[in-house]
Amino acid sequence: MEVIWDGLRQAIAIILSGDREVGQITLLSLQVSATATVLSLVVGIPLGALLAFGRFPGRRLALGAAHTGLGLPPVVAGLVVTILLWRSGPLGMLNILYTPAAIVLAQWTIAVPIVTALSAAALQQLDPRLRLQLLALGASRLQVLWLLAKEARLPLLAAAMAGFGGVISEVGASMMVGGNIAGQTRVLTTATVLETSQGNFDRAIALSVLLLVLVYTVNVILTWIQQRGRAS
Amino acid sequence: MIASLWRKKSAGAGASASPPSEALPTAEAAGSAGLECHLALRGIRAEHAGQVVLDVPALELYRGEVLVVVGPNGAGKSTLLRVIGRLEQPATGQFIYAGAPLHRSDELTYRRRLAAVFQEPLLLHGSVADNVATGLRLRSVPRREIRPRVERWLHRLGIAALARRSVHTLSGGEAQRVSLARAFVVEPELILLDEPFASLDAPTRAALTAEMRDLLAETHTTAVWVTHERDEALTLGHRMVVLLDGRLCQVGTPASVFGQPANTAVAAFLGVETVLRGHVTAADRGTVTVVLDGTTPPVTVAAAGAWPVGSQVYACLRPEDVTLLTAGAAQSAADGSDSHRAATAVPSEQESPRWLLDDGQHRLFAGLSARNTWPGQVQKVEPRGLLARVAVDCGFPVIALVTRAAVDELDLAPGRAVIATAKATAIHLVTAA
Repeated sequence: MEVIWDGLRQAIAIILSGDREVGQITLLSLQVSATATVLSLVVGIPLGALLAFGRFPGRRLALGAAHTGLGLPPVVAGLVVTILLWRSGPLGMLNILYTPAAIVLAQWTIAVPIVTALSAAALQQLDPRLRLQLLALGASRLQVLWLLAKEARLPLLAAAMAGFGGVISEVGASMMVGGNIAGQTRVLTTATVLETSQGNFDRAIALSVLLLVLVYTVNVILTWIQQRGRAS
Repeated sequence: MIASLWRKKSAGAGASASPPSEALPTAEAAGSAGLECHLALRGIRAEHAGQVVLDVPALELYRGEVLVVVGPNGAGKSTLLRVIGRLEQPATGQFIYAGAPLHRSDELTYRRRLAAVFQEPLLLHGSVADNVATGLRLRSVPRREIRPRVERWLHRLGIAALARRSVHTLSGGEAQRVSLARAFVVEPELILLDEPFASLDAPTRAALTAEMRDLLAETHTTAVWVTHERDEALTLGHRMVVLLDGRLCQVGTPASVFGQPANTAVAAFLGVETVLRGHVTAADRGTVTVVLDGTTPPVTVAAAGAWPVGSQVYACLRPEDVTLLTAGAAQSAADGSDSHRAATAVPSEQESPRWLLDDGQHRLFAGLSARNTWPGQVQKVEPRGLLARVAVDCGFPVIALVTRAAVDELDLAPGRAVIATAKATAIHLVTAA
C-alpha cells in the first residue's frame, strides 16, 4: 500500500514538474490514438451503414465478423500489421515499421471493427423508412449517410468513445509494431510496461495516472458533445 | 381544367356497362383530352426475396392528376409508390418521365423533382424550420432563398408559430403538417403520399385531407396517393388504381371503378357484398335479364348493360344500393300510398314511389328504371358506425346497408319478412368466364 501512496506522490511531482519525456510520451499517445480513432470512424461508419442497410450475400457473415472484431486481441492485430509491414511483407516497401505510423495502422486495425459493429447497431436502430424519406427529399447517397449519422450521433459518439478507449489502452500492438523506442514510438502504455518491468513504480504510476486523465478528458469532451445533442 | 377533363372522361366511362373494356384512357384518348403524360411505367416487376410483389405491365400518370392507389394490406401499394419514387429498384421495367426514358444515372435529378410524405412524419432532430428547409439544403438552394420559402410554407400550413420549436414537442397533426411543408417547399413536380394521415385521429385526418386536396389543386402538383380508405379514393382522386396481390387489376376514374369493378375480387375489395352468379337469358333496350344459378324457382335479376344472351356473369350489388321494404310498405307503395316504409343507406336518392309489380318475376319498375324486388327474411343485423349492415336471405344472400333509424322504424330483426329492392342500373355485371 505504501508503494502505491509513494508512487502517487511521486507521480504528482513528476506531472507538476513538467517532465519533458513524460510530456512527449503523453502527446504522442494522444496523437497516435486520436488519429487511429478518426481514421477508424472514416472507414467504420460507412462500413457500418453498409452492413446496416446493404442487401448483399454474406451480409450477416460480415456483421458477425465485425462483432468478432469487438474482441480482437491487440497482439493479434499487432502480429498481422507486423507481418504486413515487415521488410519482406506486402506493405514492406512503405518502410514504416517501428514508427508512429505503424502504431496508427495497428490501432486503426483494432478500432475499425469496434466502430463498424457499433455503427451498424446504431444505424439499424433508426427507423428504416427514414432512409427512404431522405432519398425522397432529394438526398444523394452521401447526404443520406451524413444525415443518418447525424440522427444516430448519440450512439455513434459512443462508438467513437469505445474505439478511442480500445486503442489508447492497448499495449500489445503498439509494442510489436512500434518497438517502444524512446523519443520515437514510446506511448503511455508501452512506457508503463517498461517502467514497471524496471521497478520504477513511481514513474509507472505517473504514466498510468496521465493515461487515465487523458482517457477521462477525451471522454468528457465526447460526452459533452453527445449530451448537448440529446438536449437539442 | 384538369378536374373537368376527368369528369368528362368519368361520365364517358360510366355510361357503358357492357363487358368491361378497361377504363384507362389510351395514349391517343389522353392526348385528345389535352392530358400530358407525366410519367409512364412499362413492364414494371418488383421482387422481394425472389417473390414477385408488384407486376404493372403499363401505367400512366398524367400531369396535374391525383392518382389514388387502393388495395388491401400487402397488395403492393407502398412498393408501387417506392418504385415510382425510385426509392426501390424494380427487377425489370422502364420509366418514361416527361417523354424521355429515365436511366439510373438520372435518378438523383429525378428524385429532386419529387417529394414524399409517409404515414409517419419521419422528421429529423432539430427545429420545425430546420426540417422544412432540409430538402432545399440538399438541393443547395442559396441560403437567402431558403428562409422566405420556408416561412411561406410554414404560414401556408398554419405552423408559423412553431418554427423554432423542437420537432420532439409536436403533436401528430402538427408533425404531419411539418412533413407536408417540407414536401411542398421544394415545389415538387410529383408528390408521393403513402397513407399520410392514417395514423391521425379522425377530425385531424379530415382537416388535413381537405387541406391537402386544396394544396394539390392550388399547386397543380401531380400526386400518387396511397390509401385504404374508400371514401378518400372516391373524393380525392381523378383516377384510381386497384392493386390486388401485387397485380394492377383496374385503373379508371373512381366512379367507373366503383360502379364497374373489373372482376369479383375488385368488387369485393371495393365493398360489393352481394355477388350472384348467373347467365344472361334476355337483353332488351339496355336492360338484361339474368337467371341466377342454383335458385329454385329460378330468380331473375334485371341489370343495365348490353351483354349477349347466354353470357355467364356475376351480378354485383353494393349494399348501399339495396333498399329494404316491409311487406306492408311494398303494398302501400303499389297502392300509391305515401305511408310506405323503406330503408336505404341513401334515403335522399329514393325514387318517387310509382311501383308496378311485374307478374311474379319479383321485378318492379319505377318510372323508366327497372327495379328488382326480392322477398326475403332478415338473417342478421350488425351495427356499422352510423349505419347497419343487414343480411337478408332471399333464396340467395343479399346484403343491405341502412340507417340505424331505419332499423328501428322497420323493426328489422332476424326473422323479419322484408323485400329487398335494387335498381337495375345499380347492378353491375362482370364476366364469370
